[in-house]
Amino acid sequence: MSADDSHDGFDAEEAKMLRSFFRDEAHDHLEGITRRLLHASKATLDAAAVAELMRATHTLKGSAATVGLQTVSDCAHAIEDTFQHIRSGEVPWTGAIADQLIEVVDTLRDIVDATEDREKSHNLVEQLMRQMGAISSGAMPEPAPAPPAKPPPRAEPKRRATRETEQQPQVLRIDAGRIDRLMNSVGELVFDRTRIERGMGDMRRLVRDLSKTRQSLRDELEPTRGAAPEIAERLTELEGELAQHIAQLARSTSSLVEDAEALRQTTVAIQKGLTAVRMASVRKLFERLGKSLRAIARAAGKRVELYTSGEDTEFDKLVGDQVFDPLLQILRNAIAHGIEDEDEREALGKPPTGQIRMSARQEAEAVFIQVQDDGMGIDPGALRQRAIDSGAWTQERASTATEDELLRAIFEPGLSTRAETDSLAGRGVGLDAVRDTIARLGGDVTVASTRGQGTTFTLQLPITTAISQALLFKIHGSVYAVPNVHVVETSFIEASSPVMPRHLRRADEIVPLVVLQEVLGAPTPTDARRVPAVVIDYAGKRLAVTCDRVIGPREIVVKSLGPLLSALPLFAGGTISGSGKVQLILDTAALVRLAHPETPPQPSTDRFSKVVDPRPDAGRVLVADDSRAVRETLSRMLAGAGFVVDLAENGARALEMLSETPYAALVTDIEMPKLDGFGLLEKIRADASLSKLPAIVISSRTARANRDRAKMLGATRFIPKPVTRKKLLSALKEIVD
Amino acid sequence: MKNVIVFAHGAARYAIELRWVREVSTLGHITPVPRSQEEIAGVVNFHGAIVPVLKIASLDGDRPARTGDAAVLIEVEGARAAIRIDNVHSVCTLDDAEDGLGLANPAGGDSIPLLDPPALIRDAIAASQRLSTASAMP
Repeated sequence: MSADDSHDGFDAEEAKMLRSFFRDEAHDHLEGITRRLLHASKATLDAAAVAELMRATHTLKGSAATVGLQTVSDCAHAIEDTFQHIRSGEVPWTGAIADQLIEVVDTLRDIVDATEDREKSHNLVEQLMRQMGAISSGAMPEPAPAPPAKPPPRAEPKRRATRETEQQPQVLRIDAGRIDRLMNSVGELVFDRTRIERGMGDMRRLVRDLSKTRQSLRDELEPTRGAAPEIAERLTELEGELAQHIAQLARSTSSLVEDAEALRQTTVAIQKGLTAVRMASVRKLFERLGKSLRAIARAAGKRVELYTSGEDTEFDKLVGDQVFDPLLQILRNAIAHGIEDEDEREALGKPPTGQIRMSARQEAEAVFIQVQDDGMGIDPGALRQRAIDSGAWTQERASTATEDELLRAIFEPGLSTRAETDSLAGRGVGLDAVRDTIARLGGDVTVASTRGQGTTFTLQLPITTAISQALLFKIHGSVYAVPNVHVVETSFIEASSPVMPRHLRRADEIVPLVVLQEVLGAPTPTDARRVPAVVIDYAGKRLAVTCDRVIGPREIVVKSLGPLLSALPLFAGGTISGSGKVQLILDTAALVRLAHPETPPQPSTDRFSKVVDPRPDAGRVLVADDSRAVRETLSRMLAGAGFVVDLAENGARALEMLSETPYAALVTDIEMPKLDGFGLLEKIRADASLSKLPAIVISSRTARANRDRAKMLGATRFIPKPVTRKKLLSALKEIVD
Repeated sequence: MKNVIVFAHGAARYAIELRWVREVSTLGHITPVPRSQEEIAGVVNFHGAIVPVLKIASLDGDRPARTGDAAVLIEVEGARAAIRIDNVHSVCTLDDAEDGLGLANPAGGDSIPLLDPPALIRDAIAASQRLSTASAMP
């Protein structure tokens, strides 16, 4: 095996690099082979196509051997042989053979990715041999796996696998549970730090109190100087000593503050590092989906081509695992309801083979996955009829609904454009479950469709489920959280009587009101005349929930409640507070189900309340500051005044958030990493859609030059730090009004 | 032969096979979980992970678990739960003959019941699933 021997000459780093080049190249070749097989007509495979397939497998065989992956090379060799047999006519060409070959190529793709895992690689090679055996014996690949018709091409796969494992560069395979435990420990570290910070606050107060005591001592001392000069002198000495101690305490406190800041930065770095370890590209996800798609298409008797892009986009592996089913359901729908039959497509002047495009891209802290088909699109008229027939909507509601509302309705339970039960798309989860799963992950799903041209589903997913922004509120002594992304506003409700109303009138709509205290078995407010409420929007449905007190937005680390509690519908998980207490995260989808049972409410017979907002039209405000303490302080002040607050830790992040969400105002610090406040102002003033956004600059840099520069760059107000509630709210009130 | 941990719960003694026990510790703040199954007293923070506290009728009939109580942390196939105890009495070895029937009380008197963590966890999971399906019904 000269290829292997010469390969030994590379050091681990070089070998790693070469194999990663090979993998990229192999994926390109395999994709090309799959594409060609899909394109091939059912009846014939022309000579040029066979030649091209043989060329690709041959190249693959050679390059695999060159980098020392003999097993891969052997498999490619076996496939090349089969193409040879097809060319010679020994194996007759049929659509079924094409599909079987596509599966073989899929397996080889997995083998290419699994060379580090000896056992997995061995099993995959066996699988591939079974599939190849089925092709040469003319058997259908499923259901029973036939015994290998051929022995593995070389009789030494075990030894090879060992060699390959030995030669692999240092890649660690780590149990995800271990990483989670590390994450938990880092979480603990964050709580420890919070406690230290609280302690430092106490120390600062102590310094202040001691200074005051010292001042009182001096004041008291003055009149005694004449009366008892000796005692006064001794006391003055002691007062001097006290002053020294205070100064020392103040210095120690400041250096502790710096240490705590260093600790904060390290904790953040570890958290980010651990998150990065859990990242995986979407390639695997797309490949798994591609395989299932082919099986679905085959079962439906439709031919579909899948084009993918953005496979290198990365997100938390846990997110990837959880979006497989929702994406599969979307693909099933595309095949069952979207892509037309071949004849129909040709009559419409479309290519006979349906096309599905799946793409991934990252924007800011979110990953977008898009699934686009070129089928018949969604018929709003049929959907309207279906909504009425199923009893989900009244005739009136259906007839006044806009196309947008109708499209959104496909995520409602029991709504689908086809009346008959469909073995393909009706299996497993429906689109309502798709939406719920995505929401549980803290994401969102939208649909766009053009009649006759196709449908596009867009999933917005968090890069990691570990950390998310939540709004916290208190009920009966316990703190609960809801994902901030679903919060529209926080306000107070006012009812004309002490009885809790069941609906809430907002500017131009009536939303159901859920008395959360009742749901959670807590005492209901005794007087409904001023109760805090959180207005939530979820998949186009509004509702309000009451609480005892709104605490404000926080960055939380989302944790599972474990197998004993994860089936409970009301909670999506939990988080742990700074003082170490567990806080429960409410599942927005469950709240919506409470507020919107299947039959629409009859608001006309109900009692109403109206929103009394301490700040009419209090909107969403973005706070940008690199100090967590400042962010938390400002967010409390703003949330207390009815604003919905989002937080950004630097200017760059703020800019991203501003481009995604409309805000009523921006509150920004000047000195921040990545993009400072001046840079941020410059960018937003240059952006047509943001140029009018009110911006309050807060800073401890109060020099004239800084104020002037902020003003010149378009700051609406300048507030020197420390920011007081009064200054902040009055500045906001002026500019927003 | 089985190693068991015998713990005291009021005047009573109970035993758990050592292989299910991960830790003996003090319960932190117990957060109640509204609308959860009867078997759950609440959840606690256990080294940064969220762990349910099991309520066992025969043990906790007298009073519910409270913050600051001692507890054993059990784990069965990745599912973890805490059980309140008063204190650890002893660790001892059981003959196979005594398996599942409770063991003789070393101090004399009635035999000490052996708790079955897999069954406790299984029952708690089944109860949560019943709640979940019940709430899915209109």
